[in-house]
Amino acid sequence: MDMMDKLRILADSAKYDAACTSSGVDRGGRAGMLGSAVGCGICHSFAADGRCISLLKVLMTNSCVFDCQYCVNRCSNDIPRATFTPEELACLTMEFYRRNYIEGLFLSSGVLKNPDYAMERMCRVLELLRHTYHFNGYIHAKAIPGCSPELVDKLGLLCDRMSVNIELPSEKSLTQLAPDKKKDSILKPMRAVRDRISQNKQDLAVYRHAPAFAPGGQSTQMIIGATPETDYQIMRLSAGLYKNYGLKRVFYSAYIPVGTHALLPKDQPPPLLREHRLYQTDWLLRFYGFQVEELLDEVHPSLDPLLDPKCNWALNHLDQFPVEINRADKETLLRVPGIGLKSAQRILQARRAGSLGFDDLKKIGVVLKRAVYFIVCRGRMYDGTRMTQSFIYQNLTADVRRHPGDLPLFPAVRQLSWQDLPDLRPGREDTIKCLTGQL
Amino acid sequence: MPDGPAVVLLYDDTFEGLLSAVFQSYSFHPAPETVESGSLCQQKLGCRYVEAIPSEEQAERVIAGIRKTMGWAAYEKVWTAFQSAFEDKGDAVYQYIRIGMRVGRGIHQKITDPRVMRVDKICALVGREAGMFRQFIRFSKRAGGVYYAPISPEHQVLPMLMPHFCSRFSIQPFMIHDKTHNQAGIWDAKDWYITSAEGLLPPEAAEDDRAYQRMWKSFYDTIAIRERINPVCRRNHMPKKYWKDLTEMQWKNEDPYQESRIPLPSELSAQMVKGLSQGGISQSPGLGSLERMIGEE
Repeated sequence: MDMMDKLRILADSAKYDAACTSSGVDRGGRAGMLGSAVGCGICHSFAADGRCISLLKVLMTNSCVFDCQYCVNRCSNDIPRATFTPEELACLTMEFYRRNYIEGLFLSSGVLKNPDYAMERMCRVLELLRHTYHFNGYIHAKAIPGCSPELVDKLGLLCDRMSVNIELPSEKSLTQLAPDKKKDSILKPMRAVRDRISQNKQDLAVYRHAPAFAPGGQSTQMIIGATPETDYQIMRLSAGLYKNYGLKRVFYSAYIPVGTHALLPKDQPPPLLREHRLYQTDWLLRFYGFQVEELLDEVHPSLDPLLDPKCNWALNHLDQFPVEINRADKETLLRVPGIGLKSAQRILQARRAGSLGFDDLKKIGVVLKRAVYFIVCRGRMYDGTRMTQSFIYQNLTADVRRHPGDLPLFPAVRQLSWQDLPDLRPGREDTIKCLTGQL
Repeated sequence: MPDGPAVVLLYDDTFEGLLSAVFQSYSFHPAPETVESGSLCQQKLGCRYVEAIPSEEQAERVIAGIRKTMGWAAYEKVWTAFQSAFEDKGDAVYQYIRIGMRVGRGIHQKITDPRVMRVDKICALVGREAGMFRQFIRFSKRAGGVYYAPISPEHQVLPMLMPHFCSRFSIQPFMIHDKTHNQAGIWDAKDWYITSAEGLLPPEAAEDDRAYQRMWKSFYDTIAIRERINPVCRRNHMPKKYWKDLTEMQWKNEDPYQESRIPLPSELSAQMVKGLSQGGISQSPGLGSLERMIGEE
């Protein structure tokens, strides 16, 4: 089998992994070494599905002894199998890197023989890259559940970011669909990485040249839509991961039907819109100071497909609005729909030079289409707006209702039938009536 | 003071010349209406055109003044704006410096002032293009081990790209060829410089280069998930004007790895399900059909 076939098979097997980021490490070039890393990451290409290609995302091998039902590489699946030798993969990475095709390597592996054996082969690739080829670029390595802690340690010292996939959002689903993976075999390496990173931070404070352990932090991924967990359960899990495991990112991957297990959904397009809403919520947790309980709860466990989570929150907390743009502090500004991190910063900057009106906000880059209902400038609301739930809801969703194709990520719209609109909140009953009346 | 015709200063298309013009503008009362490029300017009736005399010393004094009064960030903006291809960049920079010298560091707060916004916008566009090329430059290996990349940027982004790539490929000599401005940025593994690319002939391609290009193209086509195809999203992130130098966007209609004929889009979904459930690589549609599936791009 030549390199081309191997690359095709192993990239095909790796493509369902969501993470392909190269962020978190800022490291200039070093004398005698090839490569650098940029803090915000660089995307080198965008695939036909619009996802960024930043790293060479391949598996070491797609031969796997595990039989996880949601995974295309499960041992009971009849697909062509291939395995890179460490030398082949290291050489390929270098050649791609030299041509500016990629930012580095995203290495993951099927479980060949046993977890430790597979991890050792991954370490070998990384050693070749770092020590033989003097590669200074970005490496993301995925630890295999159930491997020994020494190997986690070794891998962490060679790569920039480590991840252990949590795979499914609940233990019950995991036992049903991934008989070889136990909750503990996943959480154990995650804890090990977390402890090693925090220990490394102390080491670095004492010895400046102490070897860095996964300086880009730890991330994880879970599959959305394969199992019946609600958005509330998923986001609570993420919040816990951010808080207790110090994760940098949690990735959500819409399930694409690749399995045949009776519990898995079949012939159903991937829930892309749901994935999008989960990412929006994730951002609200990480950058906007929201708590999960503010956005979702037991009674309303699903995110609204028509409204983004921030608009939805604002609509249900109209008592906290309107916000005076010229006085509000940053935390309050960040909670206004249509104002993001950048525009909040720019508002703070600009209002020191003079008070701001609506046209100034537009120049600054605030999305007035969403923001007008929630703000006042110099004590005045925007002409023609009313502070009632139904008015705002109708206006915010007018575009979507008129042109459902304009919903973000249009393929999902076909999947979104009007019957399974999530529970709609009591305060909006009147709007809903008119909504369903139209349909 | 008598109302004479409005004065327009002309500069000689160099950064130095522009800054000298700004310097000399302060000797006019009232201040000149605008500063324009001497080679592009179409003279109008009712204006008095004065050619500014380029002077290294005056330019340096303006630079020192900007840094001292408006801060380093402002000087960087002035320099970046000058790298743009806009014809009125002279006027934008002139207005920006005039207001900046009056308000000092407060210029960074006046982000809603039209004169400041204009420079900010130009800088954002230039910076955006430089960022795009940091992502989308594709080197190919040439005979002698030199890596060569052609680009066709709108603005002069070469000075912004070189430091990034020199730090990254510190042990690898390369050349970036700016076809629009006919310039080449060269890194010889020690120093970098920008020179004219008049009559530049890049060396022959290295032997193994084609194979890696093929492999990259094949990786690119494989990594897309067919159920998620989203051409609009791809175009937003990777505008089509960058495609012509992208290795992975070449050879659209030839696919040496495709074994059977290209399936029609209507057959695709059935075949996709079949291919996925059986997991056969040979049954999954080849890259030609993927492009077709994406359709009218």
